[in-house]
Parts: sequence; structure tokens; C-alpha cells
Amino acid sequence: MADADILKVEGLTKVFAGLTANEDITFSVARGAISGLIGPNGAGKSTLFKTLLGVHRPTRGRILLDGRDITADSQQQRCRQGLCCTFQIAESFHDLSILEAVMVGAYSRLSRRAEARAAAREAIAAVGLSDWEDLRYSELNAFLRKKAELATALATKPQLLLLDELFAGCSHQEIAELISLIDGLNRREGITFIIVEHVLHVIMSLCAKVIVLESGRILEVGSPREISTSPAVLTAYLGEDYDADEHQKFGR
Amino acid sequence: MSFRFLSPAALRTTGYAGVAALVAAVAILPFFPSPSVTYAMGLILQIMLFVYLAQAWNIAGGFAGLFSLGHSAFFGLGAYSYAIGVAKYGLDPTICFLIGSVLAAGLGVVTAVISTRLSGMFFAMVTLGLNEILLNLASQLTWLTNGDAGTYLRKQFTVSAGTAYYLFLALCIAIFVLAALVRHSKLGTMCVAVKENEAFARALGVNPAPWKIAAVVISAIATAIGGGFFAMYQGIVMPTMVFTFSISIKMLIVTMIGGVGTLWGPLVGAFLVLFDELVRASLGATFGGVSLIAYGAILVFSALFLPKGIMEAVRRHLLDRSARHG
Amino acid sequence: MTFDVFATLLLSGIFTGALYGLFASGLTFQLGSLSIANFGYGSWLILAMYTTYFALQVWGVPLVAVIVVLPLAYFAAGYLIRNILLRQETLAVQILTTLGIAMIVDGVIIMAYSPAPRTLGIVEPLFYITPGIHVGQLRFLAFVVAAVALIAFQVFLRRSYLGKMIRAVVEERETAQLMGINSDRVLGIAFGLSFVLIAIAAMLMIHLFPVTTSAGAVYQLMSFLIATIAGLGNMRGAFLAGIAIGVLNAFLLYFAASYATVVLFTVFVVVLVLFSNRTAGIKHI
Repeated sequence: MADADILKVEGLTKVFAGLTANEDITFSVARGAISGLIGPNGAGKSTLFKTLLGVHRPTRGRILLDGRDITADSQQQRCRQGLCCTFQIAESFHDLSILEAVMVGAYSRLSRRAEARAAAREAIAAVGLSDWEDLRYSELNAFLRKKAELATALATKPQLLLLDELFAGCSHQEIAELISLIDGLNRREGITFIIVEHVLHVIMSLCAKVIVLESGRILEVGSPREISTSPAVLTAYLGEDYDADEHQKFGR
Repeated sequence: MSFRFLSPAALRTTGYAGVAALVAAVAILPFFPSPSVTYAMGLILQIMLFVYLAQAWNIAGGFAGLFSLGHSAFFGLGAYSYAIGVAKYGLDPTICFLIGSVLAAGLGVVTAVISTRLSGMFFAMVTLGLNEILLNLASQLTWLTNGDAGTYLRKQFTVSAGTAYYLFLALCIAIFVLAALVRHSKLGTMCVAVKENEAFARALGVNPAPWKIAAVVISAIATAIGGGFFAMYQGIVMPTMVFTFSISIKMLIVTMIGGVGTLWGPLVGAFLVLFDELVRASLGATFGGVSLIAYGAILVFSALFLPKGIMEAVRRHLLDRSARHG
Repeated sequence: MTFDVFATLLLSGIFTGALYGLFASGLTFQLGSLSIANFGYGSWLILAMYTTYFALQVWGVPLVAVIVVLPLAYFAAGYLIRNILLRQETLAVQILTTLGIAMIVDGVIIMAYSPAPRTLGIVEPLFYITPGIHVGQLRFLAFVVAAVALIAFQVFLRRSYLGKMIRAVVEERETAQLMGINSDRVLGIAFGLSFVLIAIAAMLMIHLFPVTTSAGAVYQLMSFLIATIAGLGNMRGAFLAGIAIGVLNAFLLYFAASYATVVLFTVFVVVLVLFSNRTAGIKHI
């Protein structure tokens, strides 16, 4: 029987040369949900992100994906089990065509070229880049690059996809397009998302649950509404950044 | 908004037709014997040798991004395996090529494993060092290699210039087919992906080591085979003739000028060898330095102005033109 | 092996090694502090050796003039190379550019000086500590000059205004620029100074060793080996690592002369692989 929670993180601690980047992080993510991970700069978001992906080994604690302990698994094993990501600065594979770049993702589960190509085309179509598939990554604009990177991650057929500041630097219109894209993927394909984000109205409009990190620890976990009214979070993070009007405009 | 450029299919057809015409021209040239044709054949043979070697380098250095400055190590292993095998132990040539390939593959695995620990210039330095070790061994292990005097091959183990000409034509065709197969296979995609963004490739479930090893082993074996045939054609193998930096650097420069990591770069860059041979021929051996200076100047120039090579510049140009007209 | 032989080898290794440390220190400085991977280092070294030989032996230039002119010329060469050809910072461009420059330098050596090996052929006067233990006087001089040159360079970097500017630019380029320091000029000067170190080392080396066109590659690799052992940018470490390599080399030459290079480069490969964690912070290709 499948667990209701696709990801469970228990007491995760990461220490770099005496510096504690994450301390005793415990949370869970429900299957099919979109969760947000926020926190001021230096709060330990990217360390947590990289520990989940397997770039870093945690000093203490466990990570369970689909009920299985993946703490000691390599990045390859995690990917095969359905964990994938996009990176903060979408730089993917410069000189590969979009099709071939996305095939890299598809090859994680398929060995034959024809199969990988078909799967890649599917992922490219899912983000609406089919017209650009012969162009190189370096020949796309920033927004299309983000979509291409998303397609590459999608081609691994992830169950759980971590997006690291995917929305940074996008215009309002582009953000709206990405939001509906991710929302659609979540509904149609049932992909669970964890979104690390600075653009707060994205979190507010997409996420059912928000995890707030500060100084390497979890400050608060709750719904966007709870978070946005929590005095602790407001003082620690939202402060002047948060714009209530913007929230209204983009809220669902 | 949509990008429309010269249809890639049309471009590709034109390219293939050009290459086919080139191969045909090279193939029928010996049927018109004359002194100038003999001279041209000598030039073309030199060019083909380096086109072949450059493409072999390109499989590891271009596709997988393993910037080796010591590929002459593989070349020398192949050349010495052949020369010592037939001249000293009377082995069958096929066995010699096999031995050379196995030795090169072994060194290739070592090199590739080192490359997973070292990046960029450190890897380049290690490859230089490995070649230097082999150079010194070749000159010191006199019981095996006959030292600096070199190993001579008797006539029956060598080939004439005419045979070598067709041999290297066949080798060139074979290596381009091989490179195309590699580039368009899963191996090629994985190598380029790891080269361009290892962190993201890992996140996508790619384990870089086996792909790097595979690319280097293929490249090493191809280079060693080239070395074997080189020995067959030259009739003598000396340490400084094969384990020399000038071979490694030519493999690299020809590829760089043409377009590193592109399939046709090594062919496009081959004009450089022609240029070099002509400079040397017109100035004579006393001006050996001129060739070095010319190569060096071209290298500096291309590093500064054509860092991605001619193929890349051509692609840019076509894209721009089609963006304007399309 | 008697104690006398041991002591003689050890001293010779230490004194020669100091010279290795000196000729590697320029590379260490270029790599570690200036982030320039100079694959033409060995070629510049032998060019200076050949030039010193020809100046003294063929053109009849007095030694004092060479000592004054060569470092100045090298300073200018380093400054110009850095500020004209090596402004870009990607490693691939650096490797190719410096390799290209190295080939030009090698070509110049062959054209101007011919590839024949050259040696000043000095029979080194020996200095006997005990009847059995001796040191070469030139080697001892080299040791002293190397130590003085490196200490002077350190003091220059720490105490002088220009040295402080160099360190400021190396450590905090953007901040230095904000403070109105012309970082290109400072880095050019720093690169020029590393070339002065090359010139000083070469003038000493030609008095001790013969020079051949193939020596460039060996010196290049040895400099790199020493710089890696020392930790990039650590010039005091380079001096000590040079001595270590010098001692190793002295004993290798005594016991297995023909395989000295093989052993040395095997050490080189192993050290590079084992010390690869020190490569952190160096830009990837």
C-alpha cells in the first residue's frame, strides 16, 4: 500500500566544517500536493534542496521517498525512484538541441534512442516547446530556457519534482503562464512539487502547504494563509517584501 | 515568434554531397600518375593521418570534454606494439594491433578514472605527465624498444606509400562513421551532457564515470590503431617520433580550429595540416621554427576569436542569415 | 652508501631544490593568485636560459647587463601577455592561448638559437665541508639567491604599496575596482613580476644545467608538480616543495639515473590525483 506522504524528512541535519546549515529538519509532503519552501537568504534552503537531491550527504537524519529510506542512495538511484529537480540558474546543456537535452532526462529510464526521443518529444510538448526543439539551449531566451529545463526534468517521469527558483526574473505574464503550466502538470500527471521560491505570490497561489526556514531550522509549517498571518514569519521573512495587493491579484 | 532557418535537411544533404565528392576525388587521384600527383598524395596522406587522429581525439576531448594533451601516449603504444610485436617477436600483425588496443584501452581507463577526480588543467597536466613517462620508458627500456635508436621494421612488415594512402583513406572514413555513431548514440548524448553541466546531468540520473570511460577507451583504441598503421607506413618507430607533444597538440589544434565536439570539425580543421606542410616545404627544414610559430599564432588567434571553431562560426552565420531572411 | 655520499647528495639536493622552488614559484603565483594556467611556462624558462647563454657566450654581453636587461624584458613580456592576450578568464582559452604562445616561443628559440643543446660548460668549483662531504659553490649561490628572491618577493607583496594593491586585487577584485584600483594594470604588473622570477631562475639555471629544447616540457611539469605539492599560490610552500623534489631527484639520479624522470613523473601523477582536493577554487574548464 502506497504511503499517503510521498516524502518524509526526519531530523535532517547538515553540518559543513562546523557550520550547521540545516538543523533537525522534519516535515512531510503529501502525494500530489504542491508545497512551498521559503526563507530569507542563508536560511538553508539550497542546502536542504541539495541534501534532498543527494548532492550532499546529511550529517544526521533520514529521507524517505515513497516510504523507502533513500538517505544513502546516490543521485542516480533517487532519480530512478522519481525524484528530480530544476536548478536555480537555468543553464542546462548549452550546446545541445532542446530535443537532445530533454533526451538526457528520458535516458534516465529508457535505453533505446528512439524511445528516448519519443519520450523527450512528449515532455517538450507538455511545456509547449515543440516549435523550438531543433534550436540549441543557448539560442533560447531566459523564459524558454526555464521551460526547456522543466521539460528535461519532466522527461525523467518524476513523481516528486523540486523547482529551485524557477520563477526568478520572469515577467508577470510569464509567471502566470508557468503557474498554470505547473498547476496543469500537477493535476494531469499527479506530479508532486516542492517549490523553492522568492516570488511570494507564486507560493501563495500554488501551494497548499508552506515550509518556512530560518537560520537552518524550520520556523513554521502551514497553509499560505496561516503563514502570511503568522507574526513570527512576518517579522522574519515577509516584512516589506510581501505585497498584499499582489497576493490578491494572483490568488486563486 | 518562430525561428526559421535554412532547412537542416537541405544543409545536411549539401554537406554529405561535398564530403562524398571529396572522398571520390581523393580515391581516384592515384589513377592519374604524375610527379605532382605523387607530391599531392604525400600531402594528402599527412592530412588524412591528422584528420584521423583529430577525430579520434575529438571523441574523448570534444564529445566528453576530456581535454587531453597526451594522446600521443596512445599513439605511441599502438606504434610500439606493432613495431616490437612484428620485428622482435614475429607476431601476427592482427595480434599486434590487438595488443596495442588493449594497452591503450588500459591506459585509457586509468586516464578516464583520473578525469573523474581532476578537472580542467589538472587533467591536462596529468595527461602530459603520462606521455612523458612513456617517452622516458621507451627510451630507457632498450631491451624492448631498442631505446633512442628506434625499432626498425623489415620490408615485409611495411606498406608502400600507395597502399598507405588507401589505408588511411579507409581509416578516415571509418573513424567518421564511428564518431557519427558515437555522437548520435546514448553514449554521445550522455558525454556531451556531462561535459556541459555535470551537476544537472547527475540530477537527471546520469552517472558520469562509465560514459567518460567509454569515450576515452574508444578514443584511445582508435588512436592506438592509427599509431600502428603509422609505424607500418614509416618503417621505424623512435621514442621522440611517437611519444611527442607535437602529435598531441596537432590532434587538438586541428579539432579546435575546425570545431571541437562537432562531427565535421576535424575535417574542416585539416586545412591547417596542409598549410603547415606547404610552409615547411617552401621554407625547407632549416626553418623548422616557422611552422611552430605559425601553429602557435593560429592557436592564439583561434582561442581569442574563434573559441568554438569554424563549424560553430558557420552555424552562427547561417542562423543569423536565416533569422534575417526567414 | 657511506654517510659522506648521503650528506653530499642531501646537500646538493637541497641547494638544487631551492632553485627548483624558485623556478616553480612563478607558476605557483600565476596559478594560485592570478588564476592563470600558463602552459607556456617551461618555454619561457628555456627561452631565458638560451638567451642568457647567447648573451654571455656569443654576443659577449657582460653578465651584469644580462642581469639588468633580461628581467626587465621579461617583465614587459609578462605585462603585455596578460593585458593583451589573457584578459579572458575561461580555462580553455587560457590553456590554448598559453600553449600557442609556448609554440611561438619554441619556434623563436629554434630559429634564433637553433635547437642544439647549449651549456656554459662551467666546471663547478666545490666547497669541502669535510674531506668527504662537498657542495657545489654555484649550487650554494643558487640556494642563496633563490631564498633571497623569494623572501624579497614576499616582503614586496606584504609591505610595499604596489604589493598591497596586488593582494587587494587578487583577494577582492570587485572591491578593489570600486576603490578605484585599475585591476587590469595591477594584474598585468603581477603577471610581469612572475616573469621576472622566471628570468632570475633561468639565469641561475643556465650556470648549472645544459638547456635543450625538450627541457621546456620537463620544467613545465616539474613546476606544476611543485606548485601542486605546495598548494597553489603558496610560495613559501613552493620553496620547500622544490627542496623536497630536489632531494628526491638527487637520490634518484644517484641510484637510478635513467629512470629518474619516470619515477619523478609517476610521483607527479600520483600527487596530482591524491591532492586533487586542492584543486577546489580553481575555475573549471
